[in-house]
Amino acid sequence: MRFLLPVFALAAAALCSPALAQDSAAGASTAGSQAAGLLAASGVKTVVGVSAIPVSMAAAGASGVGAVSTVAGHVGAASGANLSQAAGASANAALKVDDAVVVTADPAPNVPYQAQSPAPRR
Amino acid sequence: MRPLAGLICAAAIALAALPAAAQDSSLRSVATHFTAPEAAGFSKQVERDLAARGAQVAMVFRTGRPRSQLPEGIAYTHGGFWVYRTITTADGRTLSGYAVYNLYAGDGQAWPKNQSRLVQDYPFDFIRGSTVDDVAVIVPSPEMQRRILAVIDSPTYARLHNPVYSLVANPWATKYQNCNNFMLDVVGAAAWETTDPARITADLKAHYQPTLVKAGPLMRLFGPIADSRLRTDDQKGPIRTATYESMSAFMDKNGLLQAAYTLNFARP
Repeated sequence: MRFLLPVFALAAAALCSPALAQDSAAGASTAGSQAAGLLAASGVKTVVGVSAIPVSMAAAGASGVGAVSTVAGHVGAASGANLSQAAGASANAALKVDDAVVVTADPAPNVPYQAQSPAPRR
Repeated sequence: MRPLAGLICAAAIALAALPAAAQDSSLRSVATHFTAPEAAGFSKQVERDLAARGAQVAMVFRTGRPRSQLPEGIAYTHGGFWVYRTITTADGRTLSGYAVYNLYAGDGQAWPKNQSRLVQDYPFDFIRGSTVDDVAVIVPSPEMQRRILAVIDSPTYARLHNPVYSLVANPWATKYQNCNNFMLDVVGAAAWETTDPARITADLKAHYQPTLVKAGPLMRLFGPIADSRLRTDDQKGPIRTATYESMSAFMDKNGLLQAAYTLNFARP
C-alpha cells in the first residue's frame, strides 16, 4: 500500500491547483466599502445597495412582468403540463437602468428579499 | 517499480482531473482580469443590453477560470439570475437596475466549500469574478420570465435549493446541486409549474439533455479526496452536469427562450 502514498499526495496537489485557482473568494476583499472606494477613486458613480425589491406593476410597464409575486409558488393543477404552455407571449418593453454602479453591502443580504424560509437540508 | 506506478497513476489523475472543474460558484469571487472600473463598465453594459431587450429576468453566465482549463464544450463556470428590481441604496435613494440571484459555494471561511447558500448581490459583483471579456446570456421567453420571477419571489425558490454542493452535480439526481443545476431547477419549476424537486428532476430526465463532462475513473475515485466539492457518486455512467450550453439548447428546443447570445465587453 505504500506506493499509494505518492499517488494520494500528487493527486491531491494536482487536483487542488486547477480547482482552486480562481477561488479568490474572500469576502473581505470585496466588501462594499472597499469596492465603492475603488470605484469612487476612478470617478465611477457608486452606491451601496441595501435591498432589491420587485418592481411595481406601473414601473414594470405594459408587460406586467414582475407583478406576479403574490401568486408565486403554488402547485399548479397544470403541473407537468406541456412545455409549450411556457413558451411565447409578446415581447417586453425596454426598461430604464440608472447610471450608478451598485455594490453589495457588507455582509451581502441573503436571498430572496425578506420573505424566504430557510432552505431545507436533505 | 511500485513508486513509479504510483507516479504514473498520479499523473493520470492530474490529467483526468482538469476537465472536472466545470463549475465555479465560489462565494464572491474576484478575478484579476478586470480592474474595478472595467468590471463596473462591463456590468453596466450587460444591464443596459438586458434593459434594451425588456428583460425582467435573464440568466447570465461567466467563467471564473481560464478557458484553457475548461472541459471541451463548456465555456462558462457560474451562472445567476439577473432580475430587474427597484434597488434601495444605503443613502435612502431608489434606483432601477438588476439584482443578481446566485447559488454560491462556500469559500471555506464564511462556510464550508462543499455547501452552498443563496446569495443576492449585484452585477458588479458578478462581473468581477470573470476571467474573460465575455458573458453568455439567456433571455427566457416573456412568459417564462414571468414564471421564473414568480418562483424567485416565492418560498419555492429556497425550497428548490439543496445546499449539498458538488462541482459536477448531476441534474438528473437530487443528491448534490451547483449553481447551474439550481438555475435549471428554477427553470423547471417555472416550466412545469411545480414546487416538487423530485418531480422537476423526473421531468428534466425526460426532457433535458445534460452536458457530458469528460473525466476518467481515477478522477471519480480520487477527486473527493483532493477537493471535497468534486463529488461524483450521484453519477451513473458518464458525468452529467448543467451548463449554459445545455440549458440554452433545452430552452431553445422547447420554445422557452427569447434569445441566447454572448456579449463581449466593449472596452473604452
